[in-house]
Amino acid sequence: MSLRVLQPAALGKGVRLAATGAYLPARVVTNPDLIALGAPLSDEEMLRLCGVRERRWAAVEEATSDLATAACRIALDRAQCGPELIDRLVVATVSPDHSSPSAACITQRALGLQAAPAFDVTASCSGFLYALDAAARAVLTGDRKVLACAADVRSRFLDVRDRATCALFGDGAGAALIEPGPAGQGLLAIGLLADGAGARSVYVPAGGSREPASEASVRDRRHFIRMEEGPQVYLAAVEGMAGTAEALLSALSMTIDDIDLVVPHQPNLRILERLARVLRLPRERLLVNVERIGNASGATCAIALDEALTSGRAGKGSRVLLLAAGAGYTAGAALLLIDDALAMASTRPPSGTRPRTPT
Amino acid sequence: METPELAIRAVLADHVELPAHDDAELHLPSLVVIVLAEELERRFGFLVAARELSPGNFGSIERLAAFVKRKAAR
Repeated sequence: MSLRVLQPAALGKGVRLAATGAYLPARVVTNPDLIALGAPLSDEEMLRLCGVRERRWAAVEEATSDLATAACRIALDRAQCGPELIDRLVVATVSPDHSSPSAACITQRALGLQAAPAFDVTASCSGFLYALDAAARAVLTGDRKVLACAADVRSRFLDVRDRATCALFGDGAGAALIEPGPAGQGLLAIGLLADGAGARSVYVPAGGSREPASEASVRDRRHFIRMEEGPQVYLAAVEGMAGTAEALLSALSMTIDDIDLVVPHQPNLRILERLARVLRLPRERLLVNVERIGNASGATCAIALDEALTSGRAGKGSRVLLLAAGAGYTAGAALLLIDDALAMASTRPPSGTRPRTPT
Repeated sequence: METPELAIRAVLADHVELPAHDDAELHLPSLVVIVLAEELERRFGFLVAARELSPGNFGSIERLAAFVKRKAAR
């Protein structure tokens, strides 16, 4: 696998994470809740299929920018950084508040970022790594503080009557504040890839310029997520994460044995178990939270990273490998060396974790 | 020694009704395809790639057996 790897130290520079934040909506949706809503699977089938017991769904009044705003506020709080210092905001999402403008612009105003440029990136379940890459490149070319966020409200695009997807998805947001740092610490390397051959493996058929929303598209439920060829998607997700992991580590002359904790996207439990087997990774060095969170699309990896840091599983000096793969297909890997300041920031209890009422 | 045909039938029999003939078209639920692929990987020592989950390889017990033999021989 050919992977273009960005290594800040190779440029004589450093990029670090100052703090992270995550926001999960309060509403817990269990498998029995889904069945009550019309899901065509039993609790046992859902567990066997994807290993998810419960997931979070946004409240009726919450949209993606509200979740993004809450996660960014926590990251800013933990970094003790005011919004006026932010140079740029990147929001990865496939479920923006509106098809136009960006969720980033709405988030930018809610955070009070003044004139900081703000834009969305679309990379589905690889979203956080794509946002992180964009933020790192901005820092390497002169920005001082950049918010990399991933947020999704996939529940609004979920067909609870669809066997293939009804149990998988949840909602959530995660964010990281990115800034310059010493070379050889923080973000050691990041690599992304895409393979458009999988563009219609997991997709929302209607509501875009290919098939605008219509009475017929809604009647035929084509405004919901469709997953064609689930088994191929299953194997492709593992290949995307394992392949980018091996390519990134190879570029750094490292192996999986050099990694303290792998923090992957959480597509479903079976995929994570296969990933561990393929990477020959002991389960204790793999962060798994899919049973509680579900697949929150691009936000999942950011939420898992925040959990790793705030729980202490990734402490100072830890080498953490982030992995993601998603629709498109997209994939990515990033290697972090957790520095003292990030470990310390992650111990700070955030204030104001609830999103403000949208304006 | 277990042949690929026997292994495939053994795994399938736990999940679906076996077809009358090995060349009959299989129409398997997604989860059964995954379970079958991973069980064949375990028994015969190879990894199935996403692009290999095609009807040409997984469309019948006969084609599956030929696929397993090709993979195991590499």
